[in-house]
Amino acid sequence: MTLIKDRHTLQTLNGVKVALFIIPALIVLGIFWVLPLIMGLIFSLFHWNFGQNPVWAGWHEYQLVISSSLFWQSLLNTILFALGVVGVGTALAIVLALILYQEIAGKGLFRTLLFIPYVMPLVASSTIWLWIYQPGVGLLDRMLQLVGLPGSTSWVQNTTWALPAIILFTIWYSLGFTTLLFLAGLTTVSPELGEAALIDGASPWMRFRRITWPLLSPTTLFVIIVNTIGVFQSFTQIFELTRGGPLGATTTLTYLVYEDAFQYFHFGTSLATGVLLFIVVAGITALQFLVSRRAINYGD
Amino acid sequence: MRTLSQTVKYGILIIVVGLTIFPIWWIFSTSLETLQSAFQFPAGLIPHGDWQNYLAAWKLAPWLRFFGNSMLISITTVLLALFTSTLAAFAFTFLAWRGREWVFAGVLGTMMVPFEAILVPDYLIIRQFGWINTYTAQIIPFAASGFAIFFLRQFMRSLPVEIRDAAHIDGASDWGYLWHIVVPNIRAALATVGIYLFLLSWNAFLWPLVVTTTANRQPIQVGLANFVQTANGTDWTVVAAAAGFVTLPVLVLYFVAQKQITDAIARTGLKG
Repeated sequence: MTLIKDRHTLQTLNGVKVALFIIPALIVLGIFWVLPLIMGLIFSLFHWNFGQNPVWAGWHEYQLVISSSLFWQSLLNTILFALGVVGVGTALAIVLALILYQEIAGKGLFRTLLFIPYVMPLVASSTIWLWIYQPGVGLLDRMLQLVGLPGSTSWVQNTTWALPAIILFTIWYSLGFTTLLFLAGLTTVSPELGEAALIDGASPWMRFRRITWPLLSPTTLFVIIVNTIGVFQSFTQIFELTRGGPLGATTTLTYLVYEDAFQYFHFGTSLATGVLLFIVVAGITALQFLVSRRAINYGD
Repeated sequence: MRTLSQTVKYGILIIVVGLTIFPIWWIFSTSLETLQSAFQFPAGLIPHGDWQNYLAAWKLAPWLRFFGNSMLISITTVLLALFTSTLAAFAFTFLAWRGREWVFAGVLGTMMVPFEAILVPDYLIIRQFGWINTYTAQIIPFAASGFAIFFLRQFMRSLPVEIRDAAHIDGASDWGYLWHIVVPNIRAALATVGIYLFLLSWNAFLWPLVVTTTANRQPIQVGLANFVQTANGTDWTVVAAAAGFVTLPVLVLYFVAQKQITDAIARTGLKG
C-alpha cells in the first residue's frame, strides 16, 4: 500500500517539476499565439466595428471580404510580389553564390558588403529608397536622365510602377540573405563530383545543370519557401514607401489586415482576412515541413 | 579563356555589389549636403562635410529615448525568451511525462502562425490587459518562442547520454544538471538563438506601431517612421541624417560581430 502511495507522490512531484519547466513558455505561447488564433476564428463570425458591440454574423464577414475587389487585388498583388522577389532574387542569388563559392580574391569583402542591406533597419532602408524614388530629383530619375530618358516618374505614386518599386526594394534588401543561404547549401555539394565531371570533359554549363543544380535543389526549395513566407509577411517597406497605394496598387494581404483594423476600424473583416492569411501561410509552412523531411535531389 | 571568365565574374560582382551599397553611400552623402547641393547631380554624390543636418535631425525628435526604449525592449525580450525556451526545451528533451509529444507538436504549431494574421486579436488582448503604450506589450508576447524551443531541443538531443547518467549518479538534480551541464554545452546554440531573437525584436515595426501611442514608449523604428512622416517632402538632407544615425549603430555591430550574425541568420533562416 505504501509503495503505491509513494509512486503516486513521486508522480505528482514529477508532474510539478515538469510544470515548473514548461509553464512559463506555455503561458506566453498560449495567451499570445494560440488564444488569438482561436479568437480570430470565432470573432471573425461576428460583425464588429470599433467601439460597437459584436453582433453574430455567421459567414457574413467572409462574404464581405470575398466580395470586395480590394481583397482580390491584394491577393493578386501578394502573388505578383512573391513571384517577382522569389523569381529574380533566387536567380541572382544563385549566380552570386556560385561565383562567391570559388576561390576568388576579395570574396570576403564582397560577401560583407552584399549583406549590409539585410542587417539595416527596414524603416531606415525604405526611407533611403523613398528618396531614391522621388520624381525628378531622386537617384533613380537622375540616373535615367543621365542616359537621356525623361526621368520624371513618380515611382511610388504611380499605379503601374509602385508594385515593381516595392519588388525592387525587397530584392535589394534580401539579396545578401538569399545568397548566404545558397552559399550554405553549396557547402553540401561535394567538389569531387565536379572534378570527376571535368575530367570527363563536361562543359561548365553541363556541370551546373547535371551536378550542382540537382544537388542544390533542397536549398533552392527552402529558399523559395522562406522568401515566399517573408513576402507574405512584409509590411514595413509597404508602409514606408506607398502606404498600400496608390489606389490599392501595393496593398498586400498583410497590409489589408492592418489597414482594415487600424485605419478603418473594421475589425470583423480584418479578422476574417487574418484567418485567410493564416491559412495560406500555414499551408506554405506545412509544405516546407513536408519537403524538408525527404530529400528531393534524386529526381530529375 | 580563363582570364575572360575571371573578368566576367568580377564584372558581375562589382556591378551587383556596387548597386547594393550605392543607396547606402547615397544616404550618407545626402545627409552631409545642404538642401540646394543635394538636388544637384552628380555633384551631390560627393559629400560636403556639412554636419548641420545631423544636429538639426537630432534636435527634432527624442532619439536617445527611442534608442533606450529599443535597447530595453530587445534585451529584456531576448533574456526572457532564452530563459523560458531553455527550460521548456529541457522538459521536452530530458524529462519523461505524459502528453509530451502532443504538447511539443502544439509548440511546433505556433511556428506556423504568422504574427500578422493574429495581429488584431493580440491587440484586443493587450487592450483588455490595459497594456496599450507600455514596454510590457512589446516584451511579453515574445517572451517565449516556438522556434527557440525547437532549435534548442535539437541541440540538447545531440548531447551524449553518458553525461546525463554521470550527473545523476553524482546526485545532481535536474535543475543543477540543466545549469551546470546542459547550458554550458549549448552555448553556441544559445548565442545563435539570442542573435536571431535580438534582430527580430530590434527590427519589429508593425506591432510597436499598433500598440504604442507616445514617444516615451516607442522604439527607434517607430520613432524614425514618425519622423519621416512629419518631415516628408520638406528636407531630405535632414531625413537622410536621421536614417543615417539610426543605421550607424547596427552597421558598427555588424562589422564587429559579422561572423556570429551571418552564422545565426544562415542557420535559422531568419526572415524579417
